Amino acid sequence: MVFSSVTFLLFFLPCLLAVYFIVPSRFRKARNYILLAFSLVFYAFGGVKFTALLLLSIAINYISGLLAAEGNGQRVRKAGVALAVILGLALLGWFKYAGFFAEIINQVGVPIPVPHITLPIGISFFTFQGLSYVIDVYRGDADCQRNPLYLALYIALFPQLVAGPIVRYTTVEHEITERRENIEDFSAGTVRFMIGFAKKMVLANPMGEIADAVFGQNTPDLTTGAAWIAAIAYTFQIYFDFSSYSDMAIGLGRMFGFHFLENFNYPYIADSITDFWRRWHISLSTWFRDYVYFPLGGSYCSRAKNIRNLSIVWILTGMWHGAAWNFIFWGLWYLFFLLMEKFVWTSPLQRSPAAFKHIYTMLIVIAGWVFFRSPTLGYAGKMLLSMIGFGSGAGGGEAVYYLLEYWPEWIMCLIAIFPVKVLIENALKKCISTGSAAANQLMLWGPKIYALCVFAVSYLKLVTGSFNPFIYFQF
Amino acid sequence: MKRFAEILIIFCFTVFIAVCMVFTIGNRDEKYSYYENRDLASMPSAVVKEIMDGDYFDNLESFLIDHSALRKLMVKTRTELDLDVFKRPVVNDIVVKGDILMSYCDYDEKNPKDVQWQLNQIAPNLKAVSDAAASYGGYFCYVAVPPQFWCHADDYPWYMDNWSDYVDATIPAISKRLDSDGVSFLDIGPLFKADGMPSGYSSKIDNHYGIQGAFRTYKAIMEKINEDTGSSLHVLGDGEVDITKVKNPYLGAYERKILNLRNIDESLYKLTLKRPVDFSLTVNGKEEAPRVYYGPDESDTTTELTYQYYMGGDLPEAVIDTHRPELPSVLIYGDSFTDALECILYNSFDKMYTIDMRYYEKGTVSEFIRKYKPDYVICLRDYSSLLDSSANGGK
Repeated sequence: MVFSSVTFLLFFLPCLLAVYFIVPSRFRKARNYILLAFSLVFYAFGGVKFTALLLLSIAINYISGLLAAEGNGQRVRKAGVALAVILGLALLGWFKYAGFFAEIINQVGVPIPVPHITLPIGISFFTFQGLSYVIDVYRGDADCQRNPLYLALYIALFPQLVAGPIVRYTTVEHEITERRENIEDFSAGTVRFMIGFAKKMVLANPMGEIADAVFGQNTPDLTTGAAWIAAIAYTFQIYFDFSSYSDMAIGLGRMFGFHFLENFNYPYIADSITDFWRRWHISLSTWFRDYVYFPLGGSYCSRAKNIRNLSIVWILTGMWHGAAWNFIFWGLWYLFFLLMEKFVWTSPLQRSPAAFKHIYTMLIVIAGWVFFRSPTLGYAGKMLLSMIGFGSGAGGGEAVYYLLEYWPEWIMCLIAIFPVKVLIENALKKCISTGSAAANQLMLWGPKIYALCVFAVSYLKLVTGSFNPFIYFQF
Repeated sequence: MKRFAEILIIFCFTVFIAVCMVFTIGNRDEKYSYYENRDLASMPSAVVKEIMDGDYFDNLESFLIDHSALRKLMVKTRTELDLDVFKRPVVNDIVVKGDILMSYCDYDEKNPKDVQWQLNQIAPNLKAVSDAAASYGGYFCYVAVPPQFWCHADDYPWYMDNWSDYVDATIPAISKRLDSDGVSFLDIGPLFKADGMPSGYSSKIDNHYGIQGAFRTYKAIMEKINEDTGSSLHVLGDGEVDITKVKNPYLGAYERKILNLRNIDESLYKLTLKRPVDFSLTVNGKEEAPRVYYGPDESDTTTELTYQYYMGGDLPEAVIDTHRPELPSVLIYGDSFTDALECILYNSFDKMYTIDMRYYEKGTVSEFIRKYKPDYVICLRDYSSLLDSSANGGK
């Protein structure tokens, strides 16, 4: 099930809200079990058989957590972590990478059958989430959760189950038992959800139509104009698609009293690749930082080891996104520029004009997305060649069509990548501090009216369209 | 005030989704969407395998979207916004240019580089059909008719594809190949152009030609048959027919896609003989009231008609028997351009068989031909499907 579906919006959510809030808040356990049950039903919509896998993952992390808990001997605790890592990654590895590795082995001349395994939705997310719990318990950052249903609730909580953000157990540990749903949170969550919903339906989906149309063409026919349009469209699509899901997840979480951390911070205003990765998919980059990079030694080691640590993180980051060479190359693409920014052109870049830094960053990011989106590395290469003029001509016609057909969406995307909301809020706060009643009312009502309006438009898009894939489900 | 605002937003959101849920459930019995011209998704059956795989829930979503609350209003609103506010060049796959509605020609769908490969798929099928007819002395002709996008190629905005490159690659290639295979081929496009593309040869609101275009096509086919076979089949002349305007409003396929929001004035016409020919009609094996024009009573001039006015649309199988055994028989098959042509063609033959391989399931075209042995076999397709080897391009 996806958030931007009639099933979720008009059936799942109203039923959940009704059943959940009809139970008085003092019955915390009952509310939690209702949330857990609905979360499992939510996941089962992707295929009941995959729910068994989710439950298995939860069981592995529960048992591992018990072993890794304080009070056990050090060997037992380490065994707990090892169990979680080995079994969790084994499950992930089998479902996600078995086919890929089998193909590689075939390509080197060893004929083995290539399994064709359906990838369970969100397996990368809930695997990493479970691992973070066990490791945090081992480190003493979190208490072991003895109630298996509460741990199941943490891992399977539907807002962030299938496409993140990757929520650390420490973020919600106390909220599982001690949260208090309130009108302020529910209202803020509603607004956040509606705006996220609009981002998905009004911005991400139309950009996806453009990207899919052009990326579906044979590369010899790609023109320069169409290639650029597709690359930029996909750049918009993936950001608004993914960040919208995070918005909706955060909004939904807030309705039920959970406060998830932000996952995006206007990444397309970054002025370096380093800055970009502090703003993009923050929950994933911090996960790798805390559970892979720092344990390897981080940057508190020799340069050679630092480069090794970064390389491991970025190869894994690429692989996390998909079992294909273009994802691994995508990870290495960013590794290269991160290393350059760290060791080679740190000062020149810092001294460069802001415009140069932003253009430099965006060109690298856009090229990176071409690798990410392309079906193969070869396709990505040809696409990039088309972008620099080695395609089948300038191809103004098709590019002009996509610009004219989607002109409202292009304008909205260009505006929405900037922190316009933050600028407006700051301006209003300034006015409010000078006593402006109008600014006060605008601050109070503006976001809500805006959210209702964009939600209405989004509902219109939902019921009149059928193009509605979420990108990050494949991870 | 802050609390009031918060409660209000919660109220608006939750009431909206709850009310829409109720209305969606209320819409569940709707079966058909008129302007989309399709059946709405039906409630999926709860099959265990599909539930386990998740397919059931995907189908459920399709069903719920099709029946979602306010859908008709939303579709109309969105189309109006796209047409009149955003002025998108393409709305619901329709290129809106003044008072002409044309189909959107996808940039990637018709690639001239694919012509040879496609030709290699269909040419053997056409040869097989031709051989099937020839096996008992029959005659086969593959007829290409120009659809609206070709007739109005110059009306497309400069930046949009009009598939003219594809057609320019297709026609010479197929003509040459069929000629070398000994299969008769007739291209109607140049004849339309030579006539100056008068009204009725193409439509401003539909893909198909009008009865006038069908009549020109009929004449070309009959002349081709006479030329290739040495026959002296009578070809109806302009003086033998009346072409009259149908008073009912015409809803072309392209108008339908934009919910008739442009209401472009164009009429259907029907062709009748000054000396009508009696006939009996069998549709899918059952005898029906003999008619080729499927409209309401003459007293009803307000019901909208579509291109299905001609022959009732695409029928799997129909036979018109004019009970004139001295005349030969004909099989005509192909896509929907045959519908208007059939309204004229039967007049020149004893029996007219018509099948549409997209829906006919009793066998292949060659099997039909060998069974009924029509004297003449005509396959009529438009330029966009000329090289499509599925269904009506099969053997």
